Amino acid sequence: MSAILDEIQKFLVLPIDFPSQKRTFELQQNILLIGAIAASIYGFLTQSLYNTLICYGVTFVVTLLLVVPPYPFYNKQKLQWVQPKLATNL
Amino acid sequence: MFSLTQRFQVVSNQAITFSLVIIAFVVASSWIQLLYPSNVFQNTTSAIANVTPSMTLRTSRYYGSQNGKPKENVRVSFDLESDFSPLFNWNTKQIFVYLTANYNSSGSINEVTFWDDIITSKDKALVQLKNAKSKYTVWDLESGLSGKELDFKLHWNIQPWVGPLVYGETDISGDHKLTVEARKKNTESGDAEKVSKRKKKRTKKQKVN
Amino acid sequence: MNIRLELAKLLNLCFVFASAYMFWQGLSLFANTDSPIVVVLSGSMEPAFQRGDVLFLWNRNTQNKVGDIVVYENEGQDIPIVHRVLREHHSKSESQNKQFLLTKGDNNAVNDISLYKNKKIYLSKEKDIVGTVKGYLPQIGYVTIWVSESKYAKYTLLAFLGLSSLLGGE
Repeated sequence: MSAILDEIQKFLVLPIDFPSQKRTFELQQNILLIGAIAASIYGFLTQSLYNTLICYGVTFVVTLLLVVPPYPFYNKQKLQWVQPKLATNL
Repeated sequence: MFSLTQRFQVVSNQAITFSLVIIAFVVASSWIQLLYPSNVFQNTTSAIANVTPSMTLRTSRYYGSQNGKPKENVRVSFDLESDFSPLFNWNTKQIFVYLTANYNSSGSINEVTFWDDIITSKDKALVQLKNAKSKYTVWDLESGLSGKELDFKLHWNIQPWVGPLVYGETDISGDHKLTVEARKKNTESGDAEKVSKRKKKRTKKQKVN
Repeated sequence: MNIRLELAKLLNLCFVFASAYMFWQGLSLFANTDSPIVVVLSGSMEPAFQRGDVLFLWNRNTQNKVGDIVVYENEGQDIPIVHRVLREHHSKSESQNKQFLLTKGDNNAVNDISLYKNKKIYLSKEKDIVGTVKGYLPQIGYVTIWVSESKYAKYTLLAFLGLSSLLGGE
């Protein structure tokens, strides 16, 4: 049972490489910030909270789509770990 | 940002944080809009005229009577004019307008509502009433209302889409003080008959909460 | 099975619950009321409040004004009722600070006398009022209504929580 769970767990991790982790974090912060400011200004100018909600909602969905799925281009710079050497020549 | 769930969580947390910032901006900007260009807390005016009271005696619990003793019930009719359109901005869901009267009863100020209305959009914000009847019949807690001086006021309450509720009072012009006439003894029995008829009619249902 | 890791997880869970409880208690101390946050359960205040709206209460005021929206509970009933104050009176026979309130829902045709228990025709500010509504957040509380009223929603939530705790393991 726990072996199956572990399998699912491993499958669901869907990792991305280290430089991309940094990049997605910055991307996510910038898009949401710009989206929030744009939504506020747009809503204020049109005097409609509905517009703010829609604008911010769209920003959120776009951010999710950009950041969450493990696209192949987020996995191009995999860290190469040093291979363990067998200590035979000691 | 390593795993899928982690990325989802980070994005959602950030989104919630920013939405709180947006809410703060909405609340602050709509508050400023109430103060500029004109301060609605001081500059909302209303005119009231032709306030005329009418009194009946009723013996139902729903009209304030207890232990079967009849109680004086007062209604008024009035003219009212006021413009509430400056209260509408992007954070106004509705405005609740209510006409109340203050009176002094046994050494303390009591306040009762005679009429209220909900305004849901800016096009309906101009209130013009001619010879309108009060929505509620009003009775005093202990003694009757006869001989009491009623001081009318028109209040407003902004219900926002998000944030704090805002209350205010209009600057009322016109004759807004009125003394209810003392009741004549001989009308008592006639009114009591009216009461029993009204009681039977009263079958309106009410939603709980 | 790493016992140290499991215990650390348990401790973390305790921390989450304890801080939530502390937040709630701190808020009720601040606002001087038993339930500082209330979810609207019915449509009697529409269009001001819809089902699922979240209200923030304050109970440090000794008197209520006419027009205030208050939350009250009938004796022996646990349902908080959110209605507007229609009248306020002071009793002559008792101390002047005692206030009597008559309430009505904006969306109801008549006042609340038929809702009050024990043939009362007024609420007492001191005894019956849970708090006065000061702040408002729309629709956030709908989840609680959804979970408490639909059993499918309840099972979905439980399944989701169970799965995420099984598969989380960060």
